[in-house]
Amino acid sequence: MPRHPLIALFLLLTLGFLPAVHAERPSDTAAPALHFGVLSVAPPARAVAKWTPFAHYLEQRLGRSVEVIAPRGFERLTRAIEEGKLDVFYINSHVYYRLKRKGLAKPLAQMVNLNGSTFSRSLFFVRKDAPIDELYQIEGHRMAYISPLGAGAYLAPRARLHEEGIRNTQEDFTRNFISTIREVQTKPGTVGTLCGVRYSLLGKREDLSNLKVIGESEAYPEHVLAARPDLDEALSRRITEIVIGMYDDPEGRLVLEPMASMRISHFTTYDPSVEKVTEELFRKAELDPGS
Amino acid sequence: MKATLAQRLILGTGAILLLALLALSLFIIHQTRAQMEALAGERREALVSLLARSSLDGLAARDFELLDGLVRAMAQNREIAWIVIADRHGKVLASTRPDWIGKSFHDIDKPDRNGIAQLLQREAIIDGIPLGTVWVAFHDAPDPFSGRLPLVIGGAALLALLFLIVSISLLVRHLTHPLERLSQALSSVHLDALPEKGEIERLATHASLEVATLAQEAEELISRLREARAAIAAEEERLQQAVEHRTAELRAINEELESFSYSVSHDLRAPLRAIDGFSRALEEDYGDRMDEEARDYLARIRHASQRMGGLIDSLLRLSRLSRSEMQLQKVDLSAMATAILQRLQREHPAREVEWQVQEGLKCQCDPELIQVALENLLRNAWKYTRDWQPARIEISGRRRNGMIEICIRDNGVGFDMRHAARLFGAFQRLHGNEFEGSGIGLATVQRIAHRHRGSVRAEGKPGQGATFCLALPEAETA
Repeated sequence: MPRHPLIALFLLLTLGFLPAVHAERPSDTAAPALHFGVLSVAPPARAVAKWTPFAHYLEQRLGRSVEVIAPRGFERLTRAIEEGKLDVFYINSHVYYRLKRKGLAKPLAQMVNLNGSTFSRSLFFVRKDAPIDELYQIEGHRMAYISPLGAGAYLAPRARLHEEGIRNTQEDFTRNFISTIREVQTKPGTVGTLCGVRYSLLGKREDLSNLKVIGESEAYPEHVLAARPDLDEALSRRITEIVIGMYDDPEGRLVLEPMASMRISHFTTYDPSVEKVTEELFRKAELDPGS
Repeated sequence: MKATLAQRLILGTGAILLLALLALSLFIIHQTRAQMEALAGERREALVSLLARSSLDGLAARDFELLDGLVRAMAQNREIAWIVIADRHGKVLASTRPDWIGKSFHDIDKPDRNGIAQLLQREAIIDGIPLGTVWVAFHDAPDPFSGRLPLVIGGAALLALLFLIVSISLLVRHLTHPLERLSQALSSVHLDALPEKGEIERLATHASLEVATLAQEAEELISRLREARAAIAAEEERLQQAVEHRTAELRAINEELESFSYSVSHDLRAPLRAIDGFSRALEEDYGDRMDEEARDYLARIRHASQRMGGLIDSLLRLSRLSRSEMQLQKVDLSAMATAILQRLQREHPAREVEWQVQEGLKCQCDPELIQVALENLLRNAWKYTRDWQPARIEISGRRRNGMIEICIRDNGVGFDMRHAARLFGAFQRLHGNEFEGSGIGLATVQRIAHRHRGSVRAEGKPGQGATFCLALPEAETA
């Protein structure tokens, strides 16, 4: 057998394999890192840890490095976007609406929760022995919200209360789900609100038997995967494709499974009409989205 | 000078304590240093781990304010040389070195490695996901034992040692004082001055069991001594009385014997003089009428009576030797012997005798008695070398046990050593009538030697001469 065909075959295989390897490894020199922000009530490190598998998946599919960053609070998130330090971010519909109005966000995809819906409702709950059984009885009581930037944990329940004509409440912010639960469990006159799906999840690991649900809010849109407005359109489309395609990709499924702890089932195409829902909630809650 | 028990105990215990404290101090210093180094290592590890853990949220949120705050807080620790918090790619996000921020940690030239004792690295990881890395460089930790601490420890150990030695000294003194008192009391015990009964035991009233037992045994020993002394005193008294009684008896017997001897000798002289006188008168007045045989008998009577007179004179002289008072003084024996020999030579001018006297022979003795003794010995030597040609007499001396031994050696007739014991008895004559003499001479010499607390001995061989040695107290050299 002549040597030349063998050498040619070797070179062909080697050269042909190199691009494949190159595509699998994110290269810092090929493109700058994509900065993926997460605004979460969880501690930043915990949030980054939870989103890192997602970032790695994105990395592999995009062929560029993806850095997960969890800015502390809306102000820093906003500043990071303004300064171009964040390219893509995962935020709730309340925050998205505010950023959108500031011209700092464009939608890429929307989260579908464990109930298979892009909408959720918040639950109002009190201690079982509390003298509150109906929403109207909340008047004059203390509300244990998580964050003023919450959608299901503030915007939607406040809108519901205002719709019920209840405006005389003491609003406190506990910063996380567990603290809200504890506040209610330890203080009989306190009313907590949580996303219904979250409440169900917490019930699997926390004893909520001493609590009772007294009502729920109107539906509000789930979290949004957004990007800064000036992000390359092709890249934006590619990210959207990857994220929405995760559900159909076995590897993507593997990444999505642990994200169930964040109520995430998968992602779907963003429907701009949901913004109307948020806008209505702002109106009912008598909150200024530009403040 | 021997050390006392207390001194030995104090010195021994002090030395042991010094060594023990030294060893203990070294052990403590070594252990403390090792423990401090281990603690420092653990503390550093804990610091870095804490920093990595605390950096998680700052790294996750890219919260530089938080990271800077952490770095500033940690930098308060003077052990730390520098701190770096970098993202998972090694890009420095916060550091005590502002010029390093934004650079890759691995590309930074770190010039001050020399002063760095330890560089610890820890990844900031949450749920197995690395968010970044922290590096903390530590200075060489100051050796806690390089400053004044060894002096302080040494000083403390020295003070402790002094305190212990003083305490032990007091304790040892307290414990050994009764023993010392007991020792002093026992060393002053003398047979003539034994302590009172119970006096020794009282010295150990508050002493330890061993000392009290010792005192008790000493007390018992002294008690036995006291009894023995009483017994000895009683025996001494009994003996003294017996000696005095015996001495008195002997003195009386001796005086009686001497008196008898003197009386006998003196009283015998008168009849002897009568026998000799009448024999001579008979010879002078009737000698021409006697035949030859009668005259021979008469001559024999006279000779026998004269010889008996000589014997009586010798007995009287021997008797006087025992009674005369001694006048001890330094006597030049060499001069005395030379004078006697010169006199003998004058008495016997026909004899050719070679004699030699060692110079400087002196003794502490009675000159008159020694003159008699020396004369007896030298006359014997002169006499028993009568038939030897040339005759030789040598006088020599030597010191022995505080005595001076004068030896008179001749080359005369000598004697058989089997008869030596008889030599110094009165009227003992080994050579019969071959040589003139009374047989009282050597008895006289022995009596004189004994009176000087000395002795006399003789050596000889028949036909090869004799040596007589007279031992006398040596003259004081001063």
